Amino acid sequence: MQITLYLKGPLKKYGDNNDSLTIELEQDQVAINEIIEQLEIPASSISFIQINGEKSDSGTILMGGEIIVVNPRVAGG
Amino acid sequence: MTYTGTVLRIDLTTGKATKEPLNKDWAREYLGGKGLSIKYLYEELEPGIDPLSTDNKLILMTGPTTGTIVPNSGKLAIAAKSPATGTILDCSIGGHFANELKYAGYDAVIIEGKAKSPVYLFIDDDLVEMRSAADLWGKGAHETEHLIADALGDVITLAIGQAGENLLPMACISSELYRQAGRGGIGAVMGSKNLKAISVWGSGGIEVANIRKVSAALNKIKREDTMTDDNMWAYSDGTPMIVDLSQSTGILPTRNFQEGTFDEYEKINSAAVKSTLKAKKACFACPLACSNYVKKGKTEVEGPEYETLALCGSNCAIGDLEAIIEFNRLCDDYCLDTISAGNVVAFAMELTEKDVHDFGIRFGEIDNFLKMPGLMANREGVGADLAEGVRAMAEKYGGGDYAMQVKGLEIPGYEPRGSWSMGLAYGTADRGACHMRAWPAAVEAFGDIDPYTSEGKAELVIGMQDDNAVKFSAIFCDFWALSTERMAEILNMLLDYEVTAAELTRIGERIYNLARLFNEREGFTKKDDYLPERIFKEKLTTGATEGKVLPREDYDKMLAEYYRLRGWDENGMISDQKKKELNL
Amino acid sequence: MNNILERSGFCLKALVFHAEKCIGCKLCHLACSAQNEEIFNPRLARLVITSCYDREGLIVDGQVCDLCLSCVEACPVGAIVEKNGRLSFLEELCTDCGLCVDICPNQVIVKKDKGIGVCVQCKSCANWCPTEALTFEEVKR
Ligand code: SF4
Ligand code: SF4
Ligand code: SF4
Repeated sequence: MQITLYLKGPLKKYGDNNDSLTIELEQDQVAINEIIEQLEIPASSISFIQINGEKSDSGTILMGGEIIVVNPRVAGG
Repeated sequence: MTYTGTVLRIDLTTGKATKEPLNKDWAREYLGGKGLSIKYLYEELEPGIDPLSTDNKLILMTGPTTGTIVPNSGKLAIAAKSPATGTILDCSIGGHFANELKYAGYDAVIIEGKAKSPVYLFIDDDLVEMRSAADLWGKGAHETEHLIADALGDVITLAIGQAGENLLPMACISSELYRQAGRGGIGAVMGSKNLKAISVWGSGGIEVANIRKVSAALNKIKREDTMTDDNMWAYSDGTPMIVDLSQSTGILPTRNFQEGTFDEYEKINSAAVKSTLKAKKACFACPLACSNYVKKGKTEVEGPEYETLALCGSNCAIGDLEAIIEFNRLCDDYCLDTISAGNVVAFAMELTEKDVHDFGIRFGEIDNFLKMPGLMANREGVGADLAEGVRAMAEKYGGGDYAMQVKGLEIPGYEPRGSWSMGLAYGTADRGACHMRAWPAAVEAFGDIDPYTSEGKAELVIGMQDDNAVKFSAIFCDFWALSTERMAEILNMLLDYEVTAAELTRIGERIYNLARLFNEREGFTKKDDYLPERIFKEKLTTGATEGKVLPREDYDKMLAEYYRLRGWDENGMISDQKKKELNL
Repeated sequence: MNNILERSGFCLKALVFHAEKCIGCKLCHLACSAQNEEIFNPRLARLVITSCYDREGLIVDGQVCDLCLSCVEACPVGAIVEKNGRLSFLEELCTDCGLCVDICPNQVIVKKDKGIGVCVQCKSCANWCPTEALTFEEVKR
């Protein structure tokens, strides 16, 4: 299965500074936090993850084809 | 010790400038910036004064970190009694004024009285001049700064535009063209004193014991704690990054807070802003450089910040970045606070569409939208009504349920129905609806905390308010998410006494309570801590917040808990015990 | 002048400023004054970085010592010396004539009450610069 990942702001560096990553996975199902771990993104650096536009739990299981946005933590506004 | 120990007091009525020692006891209890300026105002202002009269005072306050190499220490606090709300008002402005003032030898400037005719001040180390501003009056802040630079050369200037001269309750003070002390009408206080600008140049420096060792330690902190994942969003994107976050969580104010998502958000989000980026820009001593200097078409600005994109973009249904940039530039030049300006225009649009009153402007109308800053700043045509803010407009024409303000200050860009803690933060902010006293949306709507419960929100908001109060007093910029432990570590490198993190939190609490006490003295009560009816009653209709309100019972619950945890009575009055405890 | 450089037999490195990366934070100025004058005073820095607006828009400009050695040549008493691609200042020889300050094409020599300050390539500025707008690079001549 295939997913597309957007790493926002300073998190881009965990994806070799690419705006988006297309990831091929062997498994049929995989939890989003496993991917985050593989990319070595510290959980504390993430505010929230969106899957297909919706704020999602980090344990959400991916079935393939999802568009995932990983947002950094933000202070002040 | 990094205080200069000197306060400059300028009486515009007599034209006299005098130096006096900084009150060291107060500096110990309130640090500087926000806290210390509020303390001076609390002690020196008579209750009930008219904010636009000669009785009000304008205070420029630095802090113990100002002028040093401490990361993100480039902010200045500017404080007075607010013309918009009648509350205490302290604003934070970036750029290079604060350090320059300190190098000129002053921790603070207290400006009193009123000049007979328009003047500007020039502080050049010991020399303080009151110069005629006859040629500057009537000009925008941008041309004012340029003309002063022509006359004085290398100086840093705080200036007001026409909005300040015309005493608008949303007039701001600007510096280096695009930095603002934005909210609560602080620019009108300058205007009421016939004070067009303040320029400063300082030749001195700040001494610190073991300066090389201290610098090396601070460079390590800068690398390991400032320029990290938590803060580098400011450099990579800046505040426009929040547009996507708010859109996806349904808290992007749209059409005067009728909705929480905007169909055209992709035209005003960070990716759109980045496509117009020319340079990143920082305040003094800041490695994070949140500012985006952008150009699009014929217009340019340092900005637009999230607040501007939200309030002047989605909230007015303007999905055209070039129009927002131009609106932003106009507001900066006239010196209008974009949060209030966006709210006022959106409110006029809704009143017009609902046939309550015809202001001749509807949602999404770019041409009319771009006429508004000039009309407001000069109080011309419909601008005369808009200039007074949404509360006054509602009093005159109706629509009070959706005049989006608290205590008379317009609401920033986070929809409380999708972030209940933000509702409480707006309700209990010392200067009216403000997102800088506490910004719990970061960990709630944008984090793991459930936005739709009143549980735990009071504690969350209080913690942030106290931390921010001390942060804005030390002074650190909002955008470095540093812990009070880190703050203490840094202050201990600079001060001649030791502070702990717990003491700093206590100082924050003291400051927040003193601000409340100021407002209490001005007659503010529990009823002033409420939000507009729209938030309590009207369901949002789109996106992640579809069907959501912030039920009044839940708000009551949060507020009651907030008062209790603060040690205030059920009417929000500070208890005597709390006063004693905090030495108020 | 080239003779001096050749004699030193050294790969010369000097500061280079990259305007497009500079955010105007002035941390470099503070780092330089702290390191060399033991005070935080941007006006005592041995480099001049400006980032400000004029009527045309944002102007970012920087002047740094590029080791042109004009000052070494100009000093009548030999108070500024270059050794191994590094300047140093001998205060006891200086007569406060100010010739070096006037001749420096980059205007980065600081005039003090007593004596002057030249860039000594301590690298404090570059170490502090958050955006790598200041680098040490080989000087090409
Ligand atoms: S200080 Fe000025 S004159 Fe001397 S070597 Fe450096 S750039 Fe040249
Ligand atoms: S290398 Fe050292 S002396 Fe030269 S400008 Fe940088 S900090 Fe100053
Ligand atoms: S430290 Fe770097 S980014 Fe900051 S002003 Fe100096 S050169 Fe520019």
